[in-house]
Amino acid sequence: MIKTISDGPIRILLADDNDDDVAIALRAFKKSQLENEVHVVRNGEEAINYLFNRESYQDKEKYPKPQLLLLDINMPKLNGIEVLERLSRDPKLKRLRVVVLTSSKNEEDVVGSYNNGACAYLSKPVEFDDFLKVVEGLNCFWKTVIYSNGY
Amino acid sequence: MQVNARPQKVRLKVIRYFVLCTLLFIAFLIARKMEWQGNKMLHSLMEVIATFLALIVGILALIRFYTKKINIFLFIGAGFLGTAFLDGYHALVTSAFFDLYFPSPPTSLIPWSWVASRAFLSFLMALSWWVSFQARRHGDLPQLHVSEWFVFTGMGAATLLSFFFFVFYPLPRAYYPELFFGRPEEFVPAIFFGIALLGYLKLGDWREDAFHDWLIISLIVGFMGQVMFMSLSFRLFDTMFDAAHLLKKISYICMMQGLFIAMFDLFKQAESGESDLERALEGTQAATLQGWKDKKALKEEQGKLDKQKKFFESVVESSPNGIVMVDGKNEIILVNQMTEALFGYSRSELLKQPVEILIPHQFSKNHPKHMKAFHKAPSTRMMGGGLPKRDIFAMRKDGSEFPVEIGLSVIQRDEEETFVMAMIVDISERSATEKRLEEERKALEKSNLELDSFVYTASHDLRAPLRGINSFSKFIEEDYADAFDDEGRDYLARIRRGVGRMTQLIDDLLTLSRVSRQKNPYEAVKITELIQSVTERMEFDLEEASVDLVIPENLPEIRCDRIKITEVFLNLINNAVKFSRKNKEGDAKVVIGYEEKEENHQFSVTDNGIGIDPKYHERIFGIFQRLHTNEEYEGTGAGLSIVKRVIDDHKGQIWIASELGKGATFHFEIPKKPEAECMENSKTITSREE
Repeated sequence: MIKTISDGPIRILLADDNDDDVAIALRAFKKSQLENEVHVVRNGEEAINYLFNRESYQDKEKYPKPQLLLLDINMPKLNGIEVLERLSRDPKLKRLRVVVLTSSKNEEDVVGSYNNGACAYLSKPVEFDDFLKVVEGLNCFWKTVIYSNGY
Repeated sequence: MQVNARPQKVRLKVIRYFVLCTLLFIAFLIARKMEWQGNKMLHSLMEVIATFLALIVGILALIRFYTKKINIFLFIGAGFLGTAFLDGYHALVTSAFFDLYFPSPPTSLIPWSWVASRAFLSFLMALSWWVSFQARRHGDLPQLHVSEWFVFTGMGAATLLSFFFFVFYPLPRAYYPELFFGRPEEFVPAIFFGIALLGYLKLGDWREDAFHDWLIISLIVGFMGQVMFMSLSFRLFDTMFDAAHLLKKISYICMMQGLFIAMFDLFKQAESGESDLERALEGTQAATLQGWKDKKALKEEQGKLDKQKKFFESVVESSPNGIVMVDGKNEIILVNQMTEALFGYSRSELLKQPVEILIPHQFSKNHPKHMKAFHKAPSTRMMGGGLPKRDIFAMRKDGSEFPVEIGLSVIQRDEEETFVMAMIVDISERSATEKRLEEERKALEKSNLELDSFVYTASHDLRAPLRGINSFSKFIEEDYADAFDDEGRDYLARIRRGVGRMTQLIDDLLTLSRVSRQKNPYEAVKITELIQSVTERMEFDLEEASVDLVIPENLPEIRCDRIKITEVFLNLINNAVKFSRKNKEGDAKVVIGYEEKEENHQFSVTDNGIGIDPKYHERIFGIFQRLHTNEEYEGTGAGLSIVKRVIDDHKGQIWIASELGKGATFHFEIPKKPEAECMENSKTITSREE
């Protein structure tokens, strides 16, 4: 069934190793008009475990499948690009929408992200207000533009 | 004997002969009428004279003969000598004193002994002609060899014979008065004289030769004397008898005259021959002298050449480069001292050897091929200069190799022989230096790269906490503003300003490192459009800042790195606006200028702002150099150093014209033809800053 994701809160998995950035992001989500349900993991490995319900993330009720993955690139253990590669190899997870949110403007990272199925590549602004605008833009983009396959 | 006698002279001679004959004939006619009676005394006198004349003629002829052996003179000489004896005898027998001893009476003895003498002479004259004639028939040379002793013996024998003949034989009578000719026996000598006369006339030498001329005259006289005079004598000592005797002497004198002339000619010839010889000798001497001089000059020339040769040899020898010359067969024909020193071979070990012995084995295999190619298109050039460029190595005698640089040139001696000269420079030291420089360059590049990565990491890692500080101070301001008093809020604001400033610094730092590392392909850029895009990106609103930006219409299209040149205009215009907008008169103005130079595009950005003191003109292009506090004019001070780096990258120049308080003009030039357009993609040197 194809529908917009306008109805109900949007379920987000945020993968970022930086505490500050997580806090800023969470505040931004809270301040935005976007209804959301944010789960946080602290590195690439955790992100994979969460998405495949492995190890400490086996409880599917507690750790439901997200509709959107906000992925940082520079993370310990597995970096964002490697996470994208793993996801693209999985028949189900390859359709998960991933938005890369990172401080890197490295071309390799940008190209690598899009090559491995990222929907968007966003840079973290220093100014919170700018960050807020990014999240709001995401909201707008999400609710009015993108159609989901109901994942 | 000369040919081509002059015809007039010949005719003259012929006329002379006729005149002579005519005169003799007239004399004959006169004599016939004359009554004359000589005697024995007169006859003896005349015969004595005749004897001496004949003797002289004979001796002269023999002298002539022995001077230059021509047979005619031998016969004439012998003939006259014999005649002299016979005439002498004739004179004796006719003298009254000897009358008694001879069996014959004087009337017989006198005529017959006369005839004997005449016959003998005329016969030998005829014989002399015959010998000459035979010689002529067999060619002038070689002369028919006639033994003179044979002739002398013959003559002597004939003389003796006649002596005894007249002594012992009783002679018949000599006069025949009953006949028309009183003495018919006189025709015997006349016949021989006639033969000789006709023979010599036919021989023709008289035309040229004075002796023969006189010989002919003598023969004419002799012949006529016999035929017209003596034959018509009818008794002893009559007119005809004495006239004939006179003519005999005349004929002898003519003969003598001819011989004198012949002798004269001979002496003259000898004289002129001598002078010729002298001249020839002088000529030879002169030629020898000249030859000697020539030889000397040649020697001098040779000396000069030798000197020059030595000079050129020393040029080759003392050359600081090794010189090796090879011929068309690749064989070494010349080396110099440096070559010996470089390769460790002696000269004799190198000459005549194939040039490949100087080349390391791994290269020598291909060398003939390269040589062939070089011979096909010979030119003066560096060896290994083709593409791809090869490093050249040479091999010493001990097999060790060393790097060299070799210049090749062709020397054409003539059409067939072509030589190749190689100038060899040992570049071991140089390549060691180059290697060291290359290593240092690599080390520097590595450290640059490390610096880049440090700048990247630093700015990236600096940004994350900065973001935190900025965000959280903002959150505090938003959520807990009431908990602070004014002072606390002021501190918070200061924190946030500090963060903003630090963000700007980090951004500029990243831009600067990107500008120096990133290389974009050159493209044609319309400057008017570029400035348009700059004004859109400006941090100031021009209207708000009330600055008048003047853009000329003649802006060109140039080949450059668009992104970087944008940075240049952005920074310069930004600066100009920044420093002129506070202009107190309120007519802030920024003027962009362009001037086309021969090789460069020259741009300028002029403001009427606060200006820059000339003592700072050098400093302002240094990184983070600022002349004002942040409160006066905001900015990090990275802008102009970014501009300068871009201009340097484009092989251009930037300079400033300004005085404090009088505004500033930044001029910069960009070459119309960038030396090496950077076509490298930015892929290899990636931008990694955020």
